[in-house]
Amino acid sequence: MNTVLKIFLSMSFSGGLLIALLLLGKRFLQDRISRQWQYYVWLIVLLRLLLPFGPETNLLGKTYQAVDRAIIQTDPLPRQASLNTPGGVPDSAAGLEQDNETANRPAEDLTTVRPLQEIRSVLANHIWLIWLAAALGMLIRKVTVYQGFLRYLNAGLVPIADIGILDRLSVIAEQAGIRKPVELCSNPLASSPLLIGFFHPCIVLPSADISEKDFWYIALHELTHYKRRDMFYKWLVQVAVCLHWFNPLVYFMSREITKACEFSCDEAVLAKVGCENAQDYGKTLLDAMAAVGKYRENLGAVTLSENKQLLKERLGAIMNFKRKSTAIRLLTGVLTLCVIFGASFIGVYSTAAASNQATDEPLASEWSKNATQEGTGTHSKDYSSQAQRYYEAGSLPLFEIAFSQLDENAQREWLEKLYTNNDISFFSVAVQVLEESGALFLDDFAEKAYLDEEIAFFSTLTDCMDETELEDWLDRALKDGDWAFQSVLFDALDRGDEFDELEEEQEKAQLAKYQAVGVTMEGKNYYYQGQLVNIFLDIRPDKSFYTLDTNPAGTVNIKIMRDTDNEITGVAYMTEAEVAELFEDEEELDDENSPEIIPVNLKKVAKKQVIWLGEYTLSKGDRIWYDVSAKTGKGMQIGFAKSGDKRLKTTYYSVKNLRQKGEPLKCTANFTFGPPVKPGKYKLFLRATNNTLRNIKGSISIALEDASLFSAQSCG
Amino acid sequence: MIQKLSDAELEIMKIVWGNPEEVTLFAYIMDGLAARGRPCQKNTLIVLLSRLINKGFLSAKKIGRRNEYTTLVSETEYQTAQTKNFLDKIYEGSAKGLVSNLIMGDLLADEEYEELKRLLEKGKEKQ
Repeated sequence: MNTVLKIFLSMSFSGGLLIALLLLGKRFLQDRISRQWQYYVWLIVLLRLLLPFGPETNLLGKTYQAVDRAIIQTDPLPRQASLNTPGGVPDSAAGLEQDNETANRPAEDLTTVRPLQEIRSVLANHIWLIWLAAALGMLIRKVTVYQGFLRYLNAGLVPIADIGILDRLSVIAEQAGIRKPVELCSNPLASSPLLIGFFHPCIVLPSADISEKDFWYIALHELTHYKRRDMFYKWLVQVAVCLHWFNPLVYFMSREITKACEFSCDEAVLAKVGCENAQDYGKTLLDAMAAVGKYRENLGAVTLSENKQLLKERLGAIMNFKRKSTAIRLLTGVLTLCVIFGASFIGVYSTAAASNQATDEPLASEWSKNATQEGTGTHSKDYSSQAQRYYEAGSLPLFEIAFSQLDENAQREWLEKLYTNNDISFFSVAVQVLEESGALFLDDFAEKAYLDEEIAFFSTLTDCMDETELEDWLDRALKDGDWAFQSVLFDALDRGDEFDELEEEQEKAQLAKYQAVGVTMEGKNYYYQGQLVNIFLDIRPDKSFYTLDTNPAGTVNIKIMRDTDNEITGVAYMTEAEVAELFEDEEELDDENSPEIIPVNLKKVAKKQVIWLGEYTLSKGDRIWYDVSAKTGKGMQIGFAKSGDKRLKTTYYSVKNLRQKGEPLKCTANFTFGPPVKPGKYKLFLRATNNTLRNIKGSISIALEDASLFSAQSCG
Repeated sequence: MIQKLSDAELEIMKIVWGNPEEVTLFAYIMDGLAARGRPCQKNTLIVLLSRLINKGFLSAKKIGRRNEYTTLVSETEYQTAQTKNFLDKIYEGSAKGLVSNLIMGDLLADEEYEELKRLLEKGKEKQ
């Protein structure tokens, strides 16, 4: 099943639970608690229904993990499934019900089960489309119905010209604390007074002929709606209803909110006019209802009264209106906290929980033991085809579950396949599964990754090594002089500082070696025989590592010569051809506006350090590309800042990325410079946002709209 | 087509038309209404002005925090349109009916009559 849909189902379910809870609570507390509270408490439910966030551990997350596994298990082994899905697992997913149906059927001929499985999986994979289509359809219909209603209303709308009434409205609005001018119109087609317009409020009266007192109450009521932004609330409810169309409880909620909206509005009005006027206000309500128009659709508009039944209740409430005591207020405070707590505790099925499934589910590990003990191969084959399916579908959590059910040989095969496919994200998920079972063959893969210099794969594998293993690897890496692996291993052992020291030493040694052949370094500039170096190139013979430094102010291009043993033998000037070859890649990018390419090759950027990469005059239409990656480190940011802004208070076109597990840390993006950013001089920067970054490589390109204005000043 | 104005809107338009300046400021209209003995709330005037803008009588230019209003329809244009409307409605488009009613109904002062006569003759010469 699609992860998004799954999250949604769980949101719907936890939201539904809350709705049921509130509806139940309402029966007992209706008249005792502030109507205002009864109205706004639904906001918490709405948030629960619309936002897929919550704490990591929660009730539904766990339930869903169980359900997930059940779905997987029902496929190949019907009898197991009926054991593993307890009757009480609450879920309205159609896909699951189907699973159970077939699962409970006594063992059938395998040949008939196969096609059924196929259909089921297709259905399960595409059911979210149906959900989305229905939700969109409903939402579009609601909007068009509302628009139709507005058109119908607008057709006969007559602005009220009486300055007297308009003045009274202005005074009432001012008292209600509304700054915006409120338009006042009349339309005989409106069944009762109502308010339209999200940003430009307009009160529509059925008729301009209205007593001063009635007008006062009506205006106060409608303006209260406007002041509290009830229109937005109502539409938020409509969006929730559309998205959760399959959940019957949301319709109850929608009705309850409409009611609570009017009740609380009445309450707010009465609080303003005083309870001695309750009777008058009630009478106004009744009068307003006397003239009922024809158009029943009043969705989205905030009317004075919705229907007669509701009116009766409202009149009752109006007559009973009294100010709430402190005790009641305290009680409501506690209740609010309870609901909020409930909302976050019920929570939703989070993807994070899904990926941790294998680790914190005793059932899962039990089950995997079963699978390996039985080891009949046929089951494994089924899981293998499932794993294949989920792999192709790109579903990490489902793949993880299927993978955990495979026997050791199949797991090994998969790992090999993922390794050769260079699919690091699936690889790291698989490694996580194996970390639990402590599969021995992981060592083989570590060996392989080390030999292949696949640093990313190796770093995933370090997660399941213990300290002694890590230290063994570190010794080996130190012996081999392999910088990248040393860096990863030091980090894994939490000894990053040692690496820094080591690197410093190494750098010093390197500098000494450069000096021996006549290259000196001052600050960031290289000098060769007293001349500032433009291009400095030092490629190790095995191509494992190279240093490239360019400085436009320099005058000579040099390269370091090395023999096959990696020892420096001398320095040579680079020929034109060599320089051309070096920048061959960049020349391919050349178009009429030839982009300026700023190569990035930094060995190390310390924690929180900002590296400036020159100042550029940018104007509208300029194109900017970032393509920079760091081999190790957690977070990187690239962007522009104003020349004086040393501390990066405001950044422009900035890209900030954190390393995702099993993926290289990269900042790639492209922008077109333009409003609202003003043209002018900007400084390009690169920042290590979290910890130390190492081996940062790539390039940043800037193509000016008008190449003649170009004025890059320095690179470095 | 030039739309009809409500009484309150016409009141405002008269003030704007009567303003010798090119642009009219909000406070000028506010003062004008008070001078005519019809003071109103600030927000009421804003609503009425926005109706006039919607009807195409005024255009507003926001400069900083103050609005500058310019007329898009002159007083004569509005009068002509309204007279034509009135003619069509009451006299079925016959100007003669209107003029004869003005004369026969004793609705004109003597000087006005003379002036109209001169105007008529001038108009004839032009043709």
